[in-house]
Amino acid sequence: MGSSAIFQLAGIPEFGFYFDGASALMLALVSFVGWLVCRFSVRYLADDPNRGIYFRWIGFTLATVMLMTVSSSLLMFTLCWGLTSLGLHHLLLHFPDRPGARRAAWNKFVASRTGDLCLALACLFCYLNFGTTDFETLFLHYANADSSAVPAAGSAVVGWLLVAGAAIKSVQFPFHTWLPLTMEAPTPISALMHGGIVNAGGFLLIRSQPLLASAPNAMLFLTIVGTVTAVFASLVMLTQTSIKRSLAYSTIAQMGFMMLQCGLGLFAAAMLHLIAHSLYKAHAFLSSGTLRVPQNSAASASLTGGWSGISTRQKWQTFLQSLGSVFLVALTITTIAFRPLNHPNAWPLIAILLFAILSYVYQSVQTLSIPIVIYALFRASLVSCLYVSSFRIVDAIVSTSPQYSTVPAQFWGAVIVVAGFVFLAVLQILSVRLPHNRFVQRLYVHLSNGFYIESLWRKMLPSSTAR
Amino acid sequence: MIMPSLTNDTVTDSFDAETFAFDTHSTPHDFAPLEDAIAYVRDLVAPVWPLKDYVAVTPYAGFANQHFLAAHQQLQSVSTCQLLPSLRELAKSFAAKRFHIHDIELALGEWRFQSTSTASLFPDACDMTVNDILRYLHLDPTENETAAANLESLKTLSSWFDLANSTNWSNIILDEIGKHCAAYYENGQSSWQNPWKHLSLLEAWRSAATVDYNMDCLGLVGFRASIAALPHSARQIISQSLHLLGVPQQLWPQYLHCLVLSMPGWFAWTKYQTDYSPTASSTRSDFEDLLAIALTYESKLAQLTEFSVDWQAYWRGVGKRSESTGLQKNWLMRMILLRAHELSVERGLLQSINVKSAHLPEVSETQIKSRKVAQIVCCIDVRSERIRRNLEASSESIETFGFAGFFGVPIEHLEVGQVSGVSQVPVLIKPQIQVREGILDEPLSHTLAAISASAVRTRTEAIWKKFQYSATSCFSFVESMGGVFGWKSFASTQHHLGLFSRSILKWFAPLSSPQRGPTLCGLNEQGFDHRKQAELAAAVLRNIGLIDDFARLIVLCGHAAQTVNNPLSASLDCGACGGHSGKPNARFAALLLNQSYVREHLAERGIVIPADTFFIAAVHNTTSDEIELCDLQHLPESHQKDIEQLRRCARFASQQTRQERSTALGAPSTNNLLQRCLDWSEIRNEWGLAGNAAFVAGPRAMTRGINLDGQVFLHSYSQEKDPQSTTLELIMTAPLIVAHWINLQYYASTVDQAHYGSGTKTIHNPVGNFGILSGNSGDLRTGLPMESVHDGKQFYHHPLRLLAVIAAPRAKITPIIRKHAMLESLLSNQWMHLVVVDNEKFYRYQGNNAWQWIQQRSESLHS
Repeated sequence: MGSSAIFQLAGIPEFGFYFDGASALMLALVSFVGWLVCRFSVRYLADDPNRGIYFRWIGFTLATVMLMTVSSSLLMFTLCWGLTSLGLHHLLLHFPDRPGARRAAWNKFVASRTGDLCLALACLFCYLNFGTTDFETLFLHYANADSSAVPAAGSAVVGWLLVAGAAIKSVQFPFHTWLPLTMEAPTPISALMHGGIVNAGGFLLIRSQPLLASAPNAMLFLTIVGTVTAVFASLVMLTQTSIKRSLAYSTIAQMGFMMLQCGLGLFAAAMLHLIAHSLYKAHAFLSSGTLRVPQNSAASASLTGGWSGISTRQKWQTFLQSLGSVFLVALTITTIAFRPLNHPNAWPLIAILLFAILSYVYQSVQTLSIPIVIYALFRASLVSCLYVSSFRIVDAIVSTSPQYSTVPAQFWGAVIVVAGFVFLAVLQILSVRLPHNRFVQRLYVHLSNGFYIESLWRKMLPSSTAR
Repeated sequence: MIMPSLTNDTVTDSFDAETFAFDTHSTPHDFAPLEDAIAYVRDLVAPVWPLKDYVAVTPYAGFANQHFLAAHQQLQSVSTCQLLPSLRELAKSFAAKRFHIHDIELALGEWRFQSTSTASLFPDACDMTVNDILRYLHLDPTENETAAANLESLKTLSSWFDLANSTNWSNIILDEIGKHCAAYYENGQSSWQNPWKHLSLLEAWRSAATVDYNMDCLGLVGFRASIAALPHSARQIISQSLHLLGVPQQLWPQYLHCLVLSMPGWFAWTKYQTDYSPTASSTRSDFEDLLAIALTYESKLAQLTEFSVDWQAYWRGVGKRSESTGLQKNWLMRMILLRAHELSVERGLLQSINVKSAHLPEVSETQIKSRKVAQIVCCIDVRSERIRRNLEASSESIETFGFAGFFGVPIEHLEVGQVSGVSQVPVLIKPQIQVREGILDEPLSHTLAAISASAVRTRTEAIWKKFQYSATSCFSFVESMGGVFGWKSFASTQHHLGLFSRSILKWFAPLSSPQRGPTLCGLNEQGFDHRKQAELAAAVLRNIGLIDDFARLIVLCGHAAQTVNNPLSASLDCGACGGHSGKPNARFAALLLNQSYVREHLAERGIVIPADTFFIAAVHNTTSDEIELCDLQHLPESHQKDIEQLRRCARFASQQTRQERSTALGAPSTNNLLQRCLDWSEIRNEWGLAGNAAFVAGPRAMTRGINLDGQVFLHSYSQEKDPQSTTLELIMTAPLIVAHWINLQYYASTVDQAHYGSGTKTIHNPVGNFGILSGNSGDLRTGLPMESVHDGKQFYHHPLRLLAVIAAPRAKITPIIRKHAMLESLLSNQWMHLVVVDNEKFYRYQGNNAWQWIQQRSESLHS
């Protein structure tokens, strides 16, 4: 823990700053997304009579998230997260007269408080067992688990509670229903929520990874929950008809993916995912006014023309691109060869990445058009290069933080992840190949309703409608 | 086994599901009252266009044959729709001195004069005085409004149910219907598409609803199971549902209308699908299907919860309510105050108009002066008023004209590499010519190469999008590309950097774009030979009124808005070009008019264009007010000096116009207007056509030099050049109607945001690539967003019905009004007003061939 900096706030136990690689990354991310959202809101809400209140709460929310990222204790983390939730509650109710907004805020309230309860219990257990919730001290206790008199059961409970709290607050199935309902608040709020706040659960797990070591079953459980969420939500995403709702289900799926990475003990990969997804989703929401109208596709016959119709300049461009592709592929292979994701649980992730890239290239090969294939190869190598390099950077930064000491190989966890993704791929292929099959049609209807979980919540929380 | 057809009695008396499941042979006679009711509501509903061609539509088109006030009364009896501005807004306008006591007197006098025909509407309210109205205005307006709103109108059964049980079924039903409609109509938004798109809306819904457990999950247990037992046709379902609901036959039209107004957006969309979309045909029955679907939800709610409403008693209550004197007084006051505001605007406009020049032949004016350097033809759009005035102010030698922005060329524009084109015409006419884009001044092989490259690019992007949005690969995409999107966000926030990064990317892009433009390729094959091309060209010039005294340069100036991240951008573009940029039309028209064979033919028809006259196309960017000149490469050396002068004038006019507009927009500088074109967080790029109030058709001399503040549609018309009144008839039946639609769209979005506006843009959620939702779900939003008519503190647009001012003798106008029943009903029912300038005097049309001379008062009387 050489690089971490710890400041104790004067006189108050449990309150201080814990600043290391992971905190720094997270703080930088939240600052960037926060700046982006505020900058966007200046014009976007220029007409809004309540913009004063809006900026007050957005400032409050950002401040609490930032404080959370540098919390020195589990207690402070939990409290800051609760305050963030409060700020968000007010932001979601920016149009308090909209019944949909009230319903969303109420749904979120119930889910968040459930998560908070788990975290509060985790704090309590830590306090009872170790007399503190301070991360630094807790990590030491856990590192010396063999020598000290820590009751093993107690530490496992803390692991379970952390996993449960993080999963519930980071919209894991079936606590995801409030997220697609939050489109009743101005667009920048969605960007902030999806790009800065909802992934705090992932950060909690990354931050407190040494505490999870004592609860390997909780990790396996997290892998399963994450896989279920990712598979479920990305299928639902495919069927959604409005931009913002499909973005919301995409966020849920991505959160599931992040959680399964945590469950597998791949915290650096989870951190990369967290950052990349935040940046991606903030952009996606802020630009949601841009329509993706499909182009009237040109006659496919002209595709096979290939080289004949291409001017000299374009030929040069294509040549340079293919040269670049070869270079980038070589670079990627070298990077992987010398510093692989050296982790026994990493192979499902590599498989998913390779599958994605290969299916991308495969689809371009199907067009039988040389320029398209070359262009796709170029992009594919760019993608893998970007992935490897950003992973290396994030890994280098996060590895300075306290780590999960010994990572047990999670064979079954990995198998579940791969099985989940195979299932996903099969269903997706079925949806394209057999759209008129009875089973596929029924599945479509159920999926477009998100398997009715939103409606069941709506029925379970009747006061939400009356409010 | 086929059941024998049932007798009439069975059909009308017993409406259990079983009879209907087999009854497919009932005679049309059985459904006559039902058909009437359906046709009645169908005619009342106005369509809405998809976002990519979001043209202005008046939501009140169906009410044109009723008096304005009668329409208000009807809307109020079945919904909470408002056709009149609120008393609060009217009081504000009065307090701001937008109209005066004198105007109220005039409006009241006019009402008394007309009330012989409309008295039946308000028998008790005719004896009010100006003092009554003033007293009413000074009352607390909120009190009046709430008193009026508390009175009830007809409601759907689900609304009744919600009131009685404090539930939320009406919203749930709306969300359900929205879900099904969005899934059926979505266009490329979802990757896993509704598998029943090839069926009709009703059948697609039925297929989904027999599987869908959502209503059951929400508490209406048995809903899913009951779908299978529904009758086959939409009409049977409607009939059965109305009986289940217990709505008496004489209330069917009202109930259906009430139902339609509970979700005006989706019904407007199905109306578009049925009658106006490219796939519209007589076999499509989306509107009726949606009625059947909506009624099914209502009737199943009634059936499964055993809830019923005594409609007869209820309707009597509604009738009593609309007879209540207090309410009638409220309506009438608002009507008169609205008219007073309009009369005030009318007086201002008529006073400023130069009557004498209305009948001066334009020829003499131009003959006296030397030949103009440039004649610029702009769209009639109100935004052209400012730029035209400033262009004229920039130089004596510039003359401007106003004409519909598609320049009379009804084209479908086909971009390079596309298989289907964009209709560049007003939505009510069909494009007649397909114009293909090509690479200009290069051999055909270049165009072929561009087509091929475009195909490569389209496919590459499509595969990339699949990578991005596929369920299995989206995770890897996000992890790898996250940083790129971070940069994109940063760059969008800093537009200049965004431009920079785009120019770098362009270097990598597979294709640079050489000069592209419309070509005359393939016109002959479409049967559009030289003769027909020349006929088109002649019609264009005649209708503009430009048949002699040609300047050296004639600029056809279309217009387009420039915005980013704005799903409603088409509402800011040229309505005459179907909600698109006017550029292709202007370029094609200029290309056509520069052809030597066209000019030869024109000369044969008596329109002699001098050899040194060149037509050039231009685009007025209404967001930045820049004027872009197109296709100058063919211009000879001799005209370079003229072009330079034109450029200087355009720059001057642009800057002047920006100056004016930055005040209206509250922008700190004119540069701020340029930023609004590129800012992704901008919600009001420009005011669009907000403020529109009048339409003037006449010689430019009539309005030249007058600052009309971007509130007036200006159409060039010169009666001397139109002895047969053909152009006049065209103006009154096409551009005037378009202006009227735009006017009422802004009107509706201002007075009734809840039904005919699209709410605040900050929670807009584009659905299916064709429409807008507010927030999570609910009704499809139509009309304009709040930001288009309201500046955050008050309404920027003042709802006023269009005032048409036409410089032509009454003797010529009356026959046109008589010939077109639609015009007559719009005018006599006060959906718009008409004033003619005849023999240097103003006459107001009062309906039924009656004209009233408007006495001009001197301004000192009431200032």
